[in-house]
Amino acid sequence: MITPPLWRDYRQNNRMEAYKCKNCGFVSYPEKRRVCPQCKKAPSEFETITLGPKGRVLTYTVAHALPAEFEPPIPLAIVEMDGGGRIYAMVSDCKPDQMKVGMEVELDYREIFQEDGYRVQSFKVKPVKKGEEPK
Amino acid sequence: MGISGYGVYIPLYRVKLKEIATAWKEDAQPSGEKSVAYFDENVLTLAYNACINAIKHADIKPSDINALYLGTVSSPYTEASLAAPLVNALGLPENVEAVDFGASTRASTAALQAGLDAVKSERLENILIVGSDVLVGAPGTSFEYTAGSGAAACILSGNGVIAEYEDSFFYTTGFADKWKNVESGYPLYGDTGFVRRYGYVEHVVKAAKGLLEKLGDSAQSFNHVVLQQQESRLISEASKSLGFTPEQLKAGMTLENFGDTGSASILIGLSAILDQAEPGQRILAVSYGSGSSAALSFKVNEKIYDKRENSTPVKSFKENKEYIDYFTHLRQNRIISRTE
Repeated sequence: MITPPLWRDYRQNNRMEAYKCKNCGFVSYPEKRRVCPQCKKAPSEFETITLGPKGRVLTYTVAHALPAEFEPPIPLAIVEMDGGGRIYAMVSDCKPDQMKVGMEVELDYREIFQEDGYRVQSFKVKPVKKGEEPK
Repeated sequence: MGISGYGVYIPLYRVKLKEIATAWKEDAQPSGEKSVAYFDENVLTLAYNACINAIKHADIKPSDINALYLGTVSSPYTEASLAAPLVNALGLPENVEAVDFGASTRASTAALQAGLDAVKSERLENILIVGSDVLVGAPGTSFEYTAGSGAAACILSGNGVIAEYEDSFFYTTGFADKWKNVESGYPLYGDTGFVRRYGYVEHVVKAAKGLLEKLGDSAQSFNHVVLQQQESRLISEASKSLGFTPEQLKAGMTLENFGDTGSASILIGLSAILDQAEPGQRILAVSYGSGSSAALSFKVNEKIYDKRENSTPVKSFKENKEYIDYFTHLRQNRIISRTE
């Protein structure tokens, strides 16, 4: 039964909702917190924001051994988003040898897994392709 | 009142049609290629990317959109909305009207017409329309050569319009040419020659002629024409019968690049035309599916220049691609999978 866990984290997974401390600007994702881990204000007020759409790769690894529904090798990256917040995401439309620390990536809505025939989507990241960008 | 912005999304991967012919040891070596969704792409994810590009192009805030209408014939569900989770993913407000159109490759023009009516009647201000399909043909069939994947979206508004809506005309008989059973998963066809003559060609010609008569126009009145991108022979037969020149069809032709993108194909063609259209030019779009056709006409205005720099042109998707072999295509579209 996937409905309860899906619904609990739906806003974080389906629309990248994150929470920004009104005291110091720290962006918490995916946890909705009471105490800010950066300025330690307790309780702090958090503003709901949407992450992205762009960020930079802080570090990455390449996963080779994954369950059958995935298609390894898949790069996995920790990304610092432009408006604040860090995410851990799979990288799409990118071969492992194209990965670089510091590369610019953007959020990309993709299917993550299926259960009982229901497709669950969330966000991966993909390299920003030069030339596709609006001027 | 009309289109205030548009956006397209095509998956990165392509398979050359001659790869398919070689795999089946066919003598003919067809030219062209088709787009193939990756393992983690589906109707919803393609639609999302097209919508993001349309919102960017229209230069509109997501909070100003009042409705999202999605058209597809390849939803994985007979019950479960795709439009509703898409509203959430795009960050649109929760009071947005979300509607799913389906059952025929005419779905996106049905959504377009419903949206145009809602804006015209001033019930809604800005409506996001999206057509998205991940089509898969049964291995070894002719549809395998054309079945492609892609999505296109446009925003309909009263203000900031770049292409004014003029009029529409419909032709409906219920002719049975193509259907997909829940059990089979692949589309099935009636007798090919018969279907060609009495299905696509007759319906496209009658809807287009009906609109030309209604508007008092001739075939030469339109600068650009896009016909449902189903099969090159059908497009050329219908356009010949209507008196359209290859020059009129050129900008909206995407079949050779992406294949048949189903309900997305008319909106992709329309976007490709808008990428290069000039103010004052007129566009005719004719969709077809399941024994019914719709013809719609638009006139481009000078505001098209203001938004052109916001666009992700169809040309960029034609150029930005990676080729995969036939076997990878079968795996990516889950036609075959590893036995556990």
